[in-house]
Amino acid sequence: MSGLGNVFRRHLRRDRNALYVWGGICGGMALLMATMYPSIGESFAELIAAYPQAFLQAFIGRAFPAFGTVEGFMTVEFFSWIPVLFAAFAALAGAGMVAEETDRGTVEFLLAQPVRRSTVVVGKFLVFLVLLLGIVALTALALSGGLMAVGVEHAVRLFLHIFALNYLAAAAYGAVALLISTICGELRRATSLSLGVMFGTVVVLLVANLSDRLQSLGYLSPLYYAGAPKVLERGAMAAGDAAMLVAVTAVFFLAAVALFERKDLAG
Amino acid sequence: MPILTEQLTKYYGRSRGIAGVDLEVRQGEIFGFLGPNGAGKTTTIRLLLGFIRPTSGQASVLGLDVRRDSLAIRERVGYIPGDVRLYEELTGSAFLDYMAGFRKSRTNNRRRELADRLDINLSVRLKQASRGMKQKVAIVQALMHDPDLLILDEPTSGLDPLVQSDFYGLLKEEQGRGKTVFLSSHILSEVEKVCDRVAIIREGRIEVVEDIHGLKSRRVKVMEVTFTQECPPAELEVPGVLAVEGSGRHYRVSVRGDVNPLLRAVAARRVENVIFHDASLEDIFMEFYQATRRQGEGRNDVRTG
Repeated sequence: MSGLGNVFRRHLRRDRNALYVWGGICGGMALLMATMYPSIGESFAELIAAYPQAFLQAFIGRAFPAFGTVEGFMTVEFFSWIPVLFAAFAALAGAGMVAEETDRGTVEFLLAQPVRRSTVVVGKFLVFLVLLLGIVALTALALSGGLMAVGVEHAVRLFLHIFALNYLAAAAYGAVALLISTICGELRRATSLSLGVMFGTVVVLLVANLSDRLQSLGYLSPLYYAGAPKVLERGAMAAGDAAMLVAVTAVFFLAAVALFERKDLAG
Repeated sequence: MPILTEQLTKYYGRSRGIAGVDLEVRQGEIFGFLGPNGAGKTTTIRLLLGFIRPTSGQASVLGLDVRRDSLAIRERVGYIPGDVRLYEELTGSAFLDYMAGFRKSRTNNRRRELADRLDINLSVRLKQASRGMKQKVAIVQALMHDPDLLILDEPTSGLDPLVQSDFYGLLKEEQGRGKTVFLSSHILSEVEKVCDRVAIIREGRIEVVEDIHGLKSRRVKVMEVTFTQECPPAELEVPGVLAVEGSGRHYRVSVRGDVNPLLRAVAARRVENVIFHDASLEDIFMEFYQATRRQGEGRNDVRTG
């Protein structure tokens, strides 16, 4: 446990600025959206009706009857892109977990200590999960707090479910990026690939939403399982979606750990 | 046996790392591991520390298998990598705290003692530290937990001569306390100063393992002699002499092994001046490589012992 605690403490201390920066950006955007809502929310249903159908289908994914509500407004105007920001953070953080140490050469000192490689990866991934939780929580607080501050009643539980799925989707992207990081061993390449995969799945989801024939492609994107419209429609997150995201995270994470355990470290 | 390898082999795909390396490093010795860049020194060290997996062969460190018991090995080993790259955002002190955090043993007293001795300011951020200072921090990191075995990959690069000398003193002290040191280097004078035995590795294979005196005895000594009168070169071609260069009064004579026959031949005439070059390990190293190259080319005019 001391090895895990050591890795966890050091990386939490080192990376805590990410929480302030990303939490500040995402939270700031959430606050902006919340405070903007009273002035544009009422005309939102008319506004949305003016959007081309294909646009709505691509970015929202399905039609739903709640355009006139604050939940509907946020689904279209906020939850259509904020998960991409969370995923971008996850891709960047995941890409650095192993590749940064190998790229900088510090891995030789680290692994010359009596610590298991899996402990190092687990410690770093835990820090990532904590920071991600902090960023998502700050964003959720800013959105809900902002809406409350301007006197807009909203379904807090519904938002929590959406944020929870956003969190799980970003965790999945983090695990994918961790695997890429383990394979690449070079920070720049790992970062490019991770961001590429992340944006690639966003595009795949947009394409899948555009065409019925390609709809099944959407299953390949973690963001498909975190879609706010589905939550809005059901009134809660689907346990299957959450389970799928947890499973994807677990599979990629365990694959990364197994690979790192066996990998030759050329330094 | 602190280090024992049997037919240890590592290939990176098709390219050779090391092939069939047999090593025995004895308790309490300072063992030099010599070879040019790319010879396989770092690959061997990485195999010993479990950073990479052998393609075939066996290796044990402190009696423990490098594959199965890597964690237990690293608890008892101090290591300095060839290319010291630290966590630049940390201070020296924070770096050592982090490294010490993985160990069961207490390190504070020893760390303070080493830092004082090497004159390190541990409060400086490593990003701002000189190369020499980083190397010193790496030395403290390797020694602070009082390891039974030190594995050092080119440890003195970046150190000024005074600190190098201090470092050699530290190694000798460690040896005096019963510790074992495995020192990889391409600086032969370094090995000459501190090592008891030496292995020379070339193109991934161990060419020779010998004590430092044995290795020195291989050396080709060079005598530069000036006679008061002309001397025919044939008079200097006595047993042990490999080559006689020069003419008239001035000669440069290469000799291996016993120099007495040559001294007797020289003493038969009046000598104005004579200089014996004290061959360094560098000379032995070069001679060794040249000899094996000649052997490879089918020439047998030089023995390699």
